[in-house]
Amino acid sequence: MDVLLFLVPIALALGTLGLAAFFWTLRAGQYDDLDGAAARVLLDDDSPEAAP
Amino acid sequence: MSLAYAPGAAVEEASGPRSVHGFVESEGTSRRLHLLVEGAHCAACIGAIEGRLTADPCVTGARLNLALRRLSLEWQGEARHADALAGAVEALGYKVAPFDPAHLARLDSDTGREWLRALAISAFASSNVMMLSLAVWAGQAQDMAPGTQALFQWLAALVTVPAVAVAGRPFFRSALRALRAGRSNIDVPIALSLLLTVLISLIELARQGRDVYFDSATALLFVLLVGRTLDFRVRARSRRAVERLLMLKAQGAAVCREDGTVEVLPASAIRSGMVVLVRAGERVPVDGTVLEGKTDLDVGIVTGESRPQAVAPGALVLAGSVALTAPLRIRASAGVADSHLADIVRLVERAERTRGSAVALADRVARIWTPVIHGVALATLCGWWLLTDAGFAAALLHAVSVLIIACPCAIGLAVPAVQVVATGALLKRGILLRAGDALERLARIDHVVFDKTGTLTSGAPTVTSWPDDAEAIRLAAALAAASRHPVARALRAGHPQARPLAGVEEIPGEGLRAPCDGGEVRLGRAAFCGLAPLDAATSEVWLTRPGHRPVRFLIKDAPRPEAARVVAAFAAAGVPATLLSGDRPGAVARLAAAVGIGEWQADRRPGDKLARLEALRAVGRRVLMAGDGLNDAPALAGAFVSASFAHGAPASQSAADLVLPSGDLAALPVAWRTARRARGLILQNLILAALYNMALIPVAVLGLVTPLGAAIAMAASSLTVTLNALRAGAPDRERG
Repeated sequence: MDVLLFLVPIALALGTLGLAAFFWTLRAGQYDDLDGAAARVLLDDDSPEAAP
Repeated sequence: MSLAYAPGAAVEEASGPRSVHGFVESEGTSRRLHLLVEGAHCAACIGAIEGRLTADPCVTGARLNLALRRLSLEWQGEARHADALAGAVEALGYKVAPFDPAHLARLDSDTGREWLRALAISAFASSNVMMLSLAVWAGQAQDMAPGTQALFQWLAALVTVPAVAVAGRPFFRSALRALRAGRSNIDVPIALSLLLTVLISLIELARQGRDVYFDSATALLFVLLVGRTLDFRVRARSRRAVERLLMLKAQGAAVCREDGTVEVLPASAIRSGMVVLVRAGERVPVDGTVLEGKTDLDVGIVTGESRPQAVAPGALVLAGSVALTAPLRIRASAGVADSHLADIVRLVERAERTRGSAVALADRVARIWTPVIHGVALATLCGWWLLTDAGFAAALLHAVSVLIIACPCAIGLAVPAVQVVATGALLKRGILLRAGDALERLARIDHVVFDKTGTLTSGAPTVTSWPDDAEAIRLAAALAAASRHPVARALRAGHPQARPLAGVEEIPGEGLRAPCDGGEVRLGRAAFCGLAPLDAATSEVWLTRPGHRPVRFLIKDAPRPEAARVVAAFAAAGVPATLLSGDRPGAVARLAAAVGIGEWQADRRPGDKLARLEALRAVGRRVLMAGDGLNDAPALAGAFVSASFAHGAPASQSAADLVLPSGDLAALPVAWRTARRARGLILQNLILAALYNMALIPVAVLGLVTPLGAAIAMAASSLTVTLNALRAGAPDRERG
C-alpha cells in the first residue's frame, strides 16, 4: 500500500490546485454578473474571419 | 442624488434633456461614468447597448453588468460627451440614471465574494475529508493497518484545521459579536460546536483514539455555508431591486443662475434663496415660494390629499409635490436639509429608533437550545465521571460527543433554507424584501393600517358618472386632450380617439377653454363655467357650450378594484384594518365604507399617523402599515412591519420593509400568506431538527456514538430540513 503515500497527497494537491483556480476566477470578478454571463454566450460578437 | 427627472404618479411624461455629466470621473484624458440602465434584461439588450456605444469612436469601453443593471462607460475627450452617450442609450428605449455608489455599497459584492470563498474552501475540505474518512471506516471493517488509518486521519486534520479556521470565520465573528453584546444567537452554538469537534478530534488523534470527527466538522461547515450563501444572494437581489427604484427616482433640480444660465444640480446642493425651475410634470425638489407661474399642484404624495391644488405666485409649495399643468419658478425657502422632506426624514429616523428590533426566530431558538444542550452535556460528564469508573478523560469524551451529535446543523439551516425559497418566490412575483427579517415579522401581524390615496385608491381620479350625451363626452375628451391634469386624463378615457381641439387654453386651477362657433366651450369647475356647484362634497367638472345645456361629470378617486377583497382577506383571518389618511373626512369616510373598513381617521399629518401607530404598539398590537406617500414614511418606519409600492415616494420605499409592485395592492395578502407559510415551515423544520436530536442525544449520553453515526445523522437531518423548505415556494393559493 506504499502507493498511497504518493497518491493521496497527489489527490489533495490537485484539489488544492482547483481551489486556487477558483480563487483566481473569484478575484477576476467572474461571479459578479452571473445573469450577464448567462446572456452573453448568446451574443454573436465574434465576427467570422474576413474572406481572403 | 441623480438627475433623472422622476415623473409623478399621475403625469407620465417629463421631457427635456437629462444631464449626467456632473457624475463623470476623470483620470487624465479618459473619463469614466457608471449609469443605471433600467429595462435591460437579456442578451439582445446587452448587444444593442454595448454595440451602440462602442460604435462611438470616442468610447474605449462599455460593459453592462446585467445583475446590477450597471453600465460602465469609458471614453476619451470631453466630460460633456456623457450626455450624448446617455441620450444614445435612452434612444434605444431604456431608462437611464446616474449609478449612485452611495445607494449600492461596494460592500455588497465584497461580502458576496467572501461567502463564495468560504463556501469553496469548505466544499474542498468536506469532500476531501469525507474521502479520507470513508477509507478509514471501510478500513476498520476490513482490517486496514492502524498506521494507514492514522495517516489518513492526520491528513484529514491537515485539511480540516486550516479550512475551519478560514471558512468558519463568518460564524466565529458573528458569535463573538453577540457574546460581546451579552446576547446569544444561533452562531454561538454553531461556532462552539465547530471548535469543540475539531479540538476533541485532534486530542483523540494524538491519543490514537476512535472518536475522530473531522468529517462532521467540515460537513457542518459546508452545509451551513451553502444555506448562508444562498440566503445572502437572494436577499442581495431583492435589495438591489429596491436600490434601483430609488436611484431612478432620485432627483435633480434646475437652478437659474444670476447670469441667466440654467444648471442642473443634485437636490442636496440647493441652498435657501436659489431660484429653481420646475417644468410641468416634474416634482418640486425643495420647499419654496412661487415666483412665477400658475399651476395645479399634485400634493397627493406629500399630504395624501387627492384633489390637486391651484397655486399662484406667492404660494408656498412643498418638496415632493408635482406641478401638473404649467411650469413654475420658485425661490427655495429652505435648503434640502431643512425642508418638509427633511422633517419627514427626521420623523422616520425617530420612528426607527423607537421601534426596536425583533429578535430573529433562529436566535430565539438558540437561546433555549444552547443552555439545554450544555446542561445535558454537563450532566453526561458528571454522570460518567462520578457514577462510573470510566475516568475523567472518557467522561469528557462522552460529554463532547453529546455536543457534537446535538450539532445545530439542521437548526442553523432551518431558517435560511425556507427564507431562500420564500424570498425567491416573492421576488418572482415582483415583491421585494428590504429587511432581512421582514418575512418573520410579517407572519406575526395582528393589525393592518392602510393609507388612502395611492394605496387603497389608484391615486388617479376616475369619472364615476358620465352625462347621457355622447357628443358632450366627445367634446370634453377633445378639450381634455390638451391638458396633463389628472382629471383631464380621466375625461379622455371617455373617448380616447377624440382629436385634440385647436386653440385650447388652460387656466390653472380653473379649467380649459377653447373658441368655437358662436362663442366658447369651457370645461372645468362650476364657477369657471359660470354655474353654481350642485354638490360640494364630491368633485365635479362641468362642460358648457353655446346653445346647449351644461353637462356635469362626477369625478372620484376610485378604490382599487382589489381593495375590498384585500381588506376582507385580512378581516377573514381576524386581522382588523384601520384607514389613516391625510385627505378630507368626506372622501375618507366614503372610501372606508366602500372597502369595508370600520375604523378611519382623516386629516392626519405624518406625525399624527406615526402617533397612532405608536399608540397601537403601546397596547401590544403588531401592525402592518401599507402606504406609498411621503406622508406615510414615518408611520412605515414606526410600524412593526411595513410595505410600500414601486410607484410610491422614494422616502416611503426606504422606510418600508417590503416594496410591492407598482399599483398592485393584491400583492400584500400574497406576501402575507407566503410569510405565514414560511413561518410554519420554519417551525416544522425546527421541530424536525429537534426530533433528530432527541432521538440521538440519549445514544450520545450512553457513549455509543461513532463518527460514522454522527455523519449519517447530520446528513439525514440536513436533507430533511432542506426538502421541507422547498415547499415554501409552492404557488400561492387564497387559503394558504
